[in-house]
Amino acid sequence: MALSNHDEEQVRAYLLGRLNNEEQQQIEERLMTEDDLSEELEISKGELIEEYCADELPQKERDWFKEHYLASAEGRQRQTFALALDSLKSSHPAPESLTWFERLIALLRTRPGAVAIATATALVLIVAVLITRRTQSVPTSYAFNLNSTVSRRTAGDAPRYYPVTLKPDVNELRISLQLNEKAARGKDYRVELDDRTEKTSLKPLSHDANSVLVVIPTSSLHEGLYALTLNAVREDGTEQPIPGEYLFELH
Amino acid sequence: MTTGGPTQENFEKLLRWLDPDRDKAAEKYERIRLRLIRIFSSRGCFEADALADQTVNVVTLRIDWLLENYVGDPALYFYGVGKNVYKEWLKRHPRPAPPPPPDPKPPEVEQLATYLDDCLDLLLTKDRDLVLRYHEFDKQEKIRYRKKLAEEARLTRNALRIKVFHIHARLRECLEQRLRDEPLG
Repeated sequence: MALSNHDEEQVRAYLLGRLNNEEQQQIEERLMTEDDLSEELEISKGELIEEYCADELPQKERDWFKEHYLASAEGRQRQTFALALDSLKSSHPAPESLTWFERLIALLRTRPGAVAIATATALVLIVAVLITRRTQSVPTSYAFNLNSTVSRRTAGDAPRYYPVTLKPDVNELRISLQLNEKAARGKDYRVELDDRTEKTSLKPLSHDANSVLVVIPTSSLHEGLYALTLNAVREDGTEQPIPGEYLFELH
Repeated sequence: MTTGGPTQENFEKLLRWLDPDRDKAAEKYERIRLRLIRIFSSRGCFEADALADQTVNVVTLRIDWLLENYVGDPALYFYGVGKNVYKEWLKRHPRPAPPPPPDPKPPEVEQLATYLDDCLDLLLTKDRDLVLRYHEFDKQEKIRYRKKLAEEARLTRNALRIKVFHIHARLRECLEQRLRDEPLG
């Protein structure tokens, strides 16, 4: 039987201790016999754990959930899973899909202090875009961050290639290479793109204390595995290779 | 009152009661047991597995009577017995229950994250991307973003929830296997 929104609410209410005895018995009997509702229970448990970990539940419900479901072995196990998944967020930047505007809105919601800077930046960007559009078509970019294999938590593991799936209208990759704490810093950097058959030297577009931004036209790429390596350029012009690689796979 | 545990013969009868086909009967048995565990866990029972086994034992001991008299879905009979087993358990563990154990320690979570990282590698790229994107953002932003994800994937919101749940289930299974191989140190 297909579930209704009411069923979803009932299951949630059940897990948060908001049902009376009769309602509780009804829902539990259905949980014993209905596959869809039993699956809904499992999904709702996951969502409530997520809300619990993000401190999004009202205090009363939070306490109930902690003292009941989270006190069970299964609840503890799933909470730990949720925490582990959450801690991976920072080491796995999710593939971009929100537009830059949507991301800006998200940033402003979480950091109201950034409004003034963002407004000024937006104005500068708008002017720049208007000027640029008069002279050339604007490239469509696919932007993402990469961490060095040296930074990767699981030392000794097989290397992971960050998946990049390009839409036809994307004509450049904008890759921000994150510098780990121990990496040598330079006055400038040189990037090498290795497609495992040949290496191409690239000049970064910009850099700051923690990252180096490189832009690669997609016309120079093909489907397959890539590794980027970094060299720090010292004041005297000599180069120092930075250990580790930045890996991605183009689909 | 019957004393002692159920015999193998009783258990065979129980399986036949669930379904004449032995494979289907075994599936039904596992499903009933799992659902009992889930209900006991939802009620905050920290011995859910043991209570489910106890429930199964009680039902198995009554199998001859059930074969003669019971009409209806066997799962509901298990549930009825389970409720009583739970009540008895509550008498032995009256509320307030012992305080729940503290949240997992950061080093444990960190090590689990490492294992989970490896499990993510075993997923199809599209599934890995989906699960990582699904957990971006909090609160209202999360709701809005998930709606967008569902639209992108041409799924209803609920279909997306179910899809992610199944990916989670695979990840949890992988994680459990990894923990069996390399327990947390």
